[in-house]
Parts: sequence; C-alpha cells; structure tokens
Amino acid sequence: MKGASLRGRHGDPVEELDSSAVVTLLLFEAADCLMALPASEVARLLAPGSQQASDEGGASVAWIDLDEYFSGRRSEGPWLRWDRGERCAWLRVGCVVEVLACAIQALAPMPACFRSEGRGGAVGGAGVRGDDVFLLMDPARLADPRNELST
Amino acid sequence: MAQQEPAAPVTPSAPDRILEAIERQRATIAALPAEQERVPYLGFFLDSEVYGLPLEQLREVARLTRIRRVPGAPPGVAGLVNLRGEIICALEVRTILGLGARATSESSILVALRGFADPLGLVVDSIADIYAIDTDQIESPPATWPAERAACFVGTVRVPEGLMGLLDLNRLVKL
Repeated sequence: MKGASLRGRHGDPVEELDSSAVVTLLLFEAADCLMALPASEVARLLAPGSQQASDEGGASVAWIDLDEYFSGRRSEGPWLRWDRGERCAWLRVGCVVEVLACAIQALAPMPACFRSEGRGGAVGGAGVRGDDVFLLMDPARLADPRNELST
Repeated sequence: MAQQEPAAPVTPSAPDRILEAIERQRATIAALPAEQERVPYLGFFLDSEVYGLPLEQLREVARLTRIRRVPGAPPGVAGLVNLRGEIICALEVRTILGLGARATSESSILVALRGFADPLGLVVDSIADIYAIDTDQIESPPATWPAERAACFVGTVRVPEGLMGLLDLNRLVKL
C-alpha cells in the first residue's frame, strides 16, 4: 500500500506514514477491560508480589494499580514497567493476555463520548482482536497522585 | 386505498362533463394521505415498552455478541462493540431513558445508527416491527412523563403493541 506523506508547517515532508504499518501491542486485562500498550513501551514485567523487590519503589517513579485506578479494587496481578522517553511508570494489571501485531489503520480514536478529562481520558483509542475490542491506553494521561508521571 | 367512483360516461360533445370528471378525480386523490407524510420507523422493545427511531437513521441491526465496557464512560454508554471490524460505541438506551440498568443478554440487539460523527449504536431488547407513521398522528409525550424523559422524544404514536415513543436521536446521543 502506498505511503502517505505528512508535511510540516512549511510544507516540508516530515515523516513517511505507511498506512499498512503494523504496531506490536501488549494486551492485558485490567478493571474488567481488555487494554493494550505498545510493546515497545513496555520495558519490564514484574511478577505479582515482587514490587518490594524492585529497587525503583521510591518516589521518583509512579506505581499505579490500574484496577484500583479505574474500579477501586486492588489487583493482584503483575506490574508492567512503562517507558516513553523521559516518562515512566509501573502499571499493575490483572493479567497479561498476549502480544498482538495490529495494523495502525485498524486502530480507531475513541468516540467523543469517551473523551474526557477524567480518568477515562487515559484511553487514547481502540482496536479489534477477533470479535473483541481492546482499549489503547496512554499512560501519560493517567492522573498520578503527584499530578504527573515521573519525568 | 379508497375505491374510486366509476368514471361518468362522457362524450366528445360534452367538454364540461369531462372537466367535471377530472375535478372529481383530483378531489379523490387529494383526499388520500400523501405518501411523503408517512415516515417509516423501526420499532424496538425495552422490556414490554415499544420505542421507535426513523428508518433513515438506521444503518443495520445485529445481534450483540460481546460488549466491552470502557472505564470512566458516562452511565448512558454501554461500551464498545466490534461490528465486523468496525468499533461501534453502544449506548445504553435503557439507562438514558431512566428505565434502570439491566445486563445485556445473548438476545440483546445492537441497532447501529447512521448520520453521526462517531459510529453509534443502541442496545435494545428486541425488534418489534417497521411502522409507516402518519406524521399527523404523532402526539406530544404524555404529560405524566418526567421532563428529562420526555425530552428524549419527538412524540408518541399509537401502534398495535401500545404507545410507541419516537426517539429524538440527536438529543438522545448528547445525554
């Protein structure tokens, strides 16, 4: 499929976007939802109960239990280390489901009724897996108790 | 259709009687309800109550196989549905109309809509029928309905299944 050109403010091509491009996603369950993160942003996986064993339990990195964040119930699942550039956080999920290759064009932005400034704002889009739907998370929009994730 | 009166016998020598017959025919046609005044509606059930939406705003009807809820979604939003690869935002009409939430079942139906910026659908219990509604017969919602509920309707009309509330979808999706 032919790629589409993105152009900057002055018309200069800034990026070549191939509409058939595929992104690898890590799918997991949390808060009774099927969620996904770009696998390239998941740096580590900690087994349940090993939070204390990590040497990153200090105040510099946010630890967010997604079950508790969205539904108020604590999870007992594994922790994912999310890294995006300077940003990072530990996210606790219910369970890891699979790693999925997904065409970018198969991802859709969230319908307007879901776009909010509240906790639902951390869902950036959605995609399909078989006859199911998963939510593409943007951890950068999770409301850290300190108002922002570690930078 | 009303039976037309048999045409009066005319002769070429009686043009005034021909004109008279034409006028009678015109009056007969004018007395029939005009086709464009009848609007097709899809009727569906929520519990035992029947509701309708204009057929022109219907995209398709599908059995609801799986619905994925979204954290932080408004109460009137049931979640997301994969409809043959397209992600549809499913609205919980029952909740929006104040009928009380009920878990979707295997028999629940997704009524996919057209004409909205986002792909939208309504979760309903079952489909009733398609009705050709004479717009002259549409009445205001009953005064006994709460104002919030009445605001979701353009009116009501009597159908064999009962009083059908005609949804104002443009308003409904904003609630």
